Amino acid sequence: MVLELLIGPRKAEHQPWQLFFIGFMYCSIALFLSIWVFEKYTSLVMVFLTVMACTHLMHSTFRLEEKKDFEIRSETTLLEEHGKALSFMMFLFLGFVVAFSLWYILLPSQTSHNVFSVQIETIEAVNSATQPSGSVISKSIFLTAILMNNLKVLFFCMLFAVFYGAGAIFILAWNASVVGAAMGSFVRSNIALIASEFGMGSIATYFSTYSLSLLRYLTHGALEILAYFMAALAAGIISIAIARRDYESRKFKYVILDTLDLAVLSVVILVIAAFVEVFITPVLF
Amino acid sequence: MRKITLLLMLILSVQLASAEILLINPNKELYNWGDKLQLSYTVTSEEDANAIFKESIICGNELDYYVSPISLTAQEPRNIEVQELSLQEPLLGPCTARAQLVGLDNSVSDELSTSQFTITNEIPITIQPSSFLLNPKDMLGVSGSVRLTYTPFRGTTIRIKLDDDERMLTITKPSFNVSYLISPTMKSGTHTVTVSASDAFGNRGNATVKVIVNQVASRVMNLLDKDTLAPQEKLSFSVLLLDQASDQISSSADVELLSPNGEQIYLDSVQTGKHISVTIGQFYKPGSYTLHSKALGLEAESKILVTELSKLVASFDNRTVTISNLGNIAYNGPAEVTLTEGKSYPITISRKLSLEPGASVSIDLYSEAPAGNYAVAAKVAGEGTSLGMVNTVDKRSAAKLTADLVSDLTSHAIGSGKYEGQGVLMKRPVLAALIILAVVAGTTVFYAKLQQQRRNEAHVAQEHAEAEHNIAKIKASKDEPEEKEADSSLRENPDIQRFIRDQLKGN
Repeated sequence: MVLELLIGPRKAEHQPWQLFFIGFMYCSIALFLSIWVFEKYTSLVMVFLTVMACTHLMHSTFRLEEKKDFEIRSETTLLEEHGKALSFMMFLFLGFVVAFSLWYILLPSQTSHNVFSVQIETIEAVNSATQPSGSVISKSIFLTAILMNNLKVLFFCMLFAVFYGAGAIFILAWNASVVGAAMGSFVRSNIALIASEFGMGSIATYFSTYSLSLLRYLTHGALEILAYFMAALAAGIISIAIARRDYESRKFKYVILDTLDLAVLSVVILVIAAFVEVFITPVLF
Repeated sequence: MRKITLLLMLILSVQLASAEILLINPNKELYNWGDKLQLSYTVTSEEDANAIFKESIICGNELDYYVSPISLTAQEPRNIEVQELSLQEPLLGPCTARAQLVGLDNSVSDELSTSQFTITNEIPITIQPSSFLLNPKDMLGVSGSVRLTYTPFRGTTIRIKLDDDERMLTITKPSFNVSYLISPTMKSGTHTVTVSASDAFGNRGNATVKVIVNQVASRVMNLLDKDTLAPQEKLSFSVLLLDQASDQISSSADVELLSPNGEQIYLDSVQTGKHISVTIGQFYKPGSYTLHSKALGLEAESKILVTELSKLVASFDNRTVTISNLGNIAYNGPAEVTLTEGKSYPITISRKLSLEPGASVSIDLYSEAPAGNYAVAAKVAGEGTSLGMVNTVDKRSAAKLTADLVSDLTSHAIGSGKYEGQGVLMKRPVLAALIILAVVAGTTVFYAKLQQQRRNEAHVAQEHAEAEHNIAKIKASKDEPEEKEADSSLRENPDIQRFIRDQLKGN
């Protein structure tokens, strides 16, 4: 009960940046607990423990946001209000990513490989599915493949959120761990190269390489995660409304309208993210 | 006229009874053209007589070249100097000179022939080289002399020829001396020095002498069929040992092939001029190889370029796909094995390979895919190969199994790990650091301002709440006189007064 109740949704919406540190802490505790107790299954257990720590916050947030649907008529104002929740969720995710990536880098090589074994396998599996290429046709195929994959994840996010309320946080925590592992792997494999090519001191090298990895995965990744959170929020609100039997209320149509807005917006953001990944990220990296 | 007639009558009236001719100076045995035949005789008669002295030269044909009337006194010898005869064409060969004393009645009273002599147009030449055995760059001295019968010795033209090098000189004395520098590229073997002499009278002479130029090994050469080769191609070459004139010399040569880093990968002793083949190894690294040959202390080096060969082969043994690098360069790139079962979405096993030449990597399909009957195909370095069918047993690790299950829940954000690293930020990592710092700073400032704004709003709201609370108290005090004193003190409070004014204005 201690970790889940560290922060409530109202405070989180007022001070979203705190969620970065809370997310970092949730992940770190989960990681070390899972290494200690569930050594063989660390890869997934640390994700589950992280999710457990967030469940209360997510559930409370969905309740709060659903309540706003009944209180606020203006859709713009409503989206602004949802924006507060989304911003702290993004901070939370960023906290996860930074924690996972830093532990990947800081832990001994063998340990980090064991801890992130499933994530590493997943990275290979995801990367084997599509191949970026320079031609316009290949890029359009690549774009479609990315979009289809991400729409699938979006769908699962919504599905999990509908059935479990806070279930989407599992998918997001999992993705944070995969992105963290990818970042850590990038830093490890590029640190020596960057140090030799650019002749920077060790701290500057680490910081530059880490910044590079952060931007490499989050230039488009941040948009994707925002889309998933939007979809999760939409589905979470529906889930709460169903649980509270609000569908019997006359105002339920506003809830439906709001969630539809969120869902459509999330798809639009996902499309933009796919374009960024195909056409902008390769130019930067 | 009368005197001449009387003289002729007198002469004709004297008859030559007997006379004797004696040769005073003997002739030479050999005469060159240009020499002079000079004969002197003594003629003695037993009685006074008039006669005609006639001198002829007989070289096949007889040629009278001197006729003179003489008067002889009895027993008194008379010397006759025959006018000298310059010998020239066509006088040639064995000749004799004949002197005749002919009477006026055309009877020959005496005659005398000289011993036979030879008239020649040949010039005998003797030559002597400084050495009969020579090396390239040696000096060859040719000395000699010509022999002519006439004196004094007159200018003679000498032509001396060694191969194509002909010299000409005019000598004023019988001997001559010429030096030749043997060319550094003169062919080995026998060479002839020919000396020709000629003079103004048409005499000619030739003489030759043979000298030998030694064969000296000058350079070694590697004769390559081609100098750019791919792995497993044959390097065909011959080692040539050449002399000063680029003629081959048969000998043995040591040959070695050196890799780009100087490592000896082939060594043999071969016969020069013989064709040799060396196979370039399958995994020989690309680059510039050196073929080094050595014979008789001479060395030669040739560069051979071994080209890059990228060759990756995928093989399959019903369970394991093995990808082997059979090229000569390291392969750093992706490899994909695709398992397709019926119409279901294929399973792609992707590996980022780093294979040195000759190295291979195996992918156990049992550890990669769920049990099933799959068509196996591999794609390496852009080339796809169908490998056949496999019935797999599921032996995936727990991590692999889980990863396969949750990969559908994974965003493609991590797909950017495959980019080539040629982007703007990869070239300037400092820029990435600056962007992150700017984002962090911007976010911090934004939330700090937001926090401050919220604090101000909260403060105002609190003041409002307190004021409303006080107004309520004032209204309540109208009905309760005992609290008037306290109310009056509140009314005097400037904040309350301002708030009341604002409220009234608002209403």
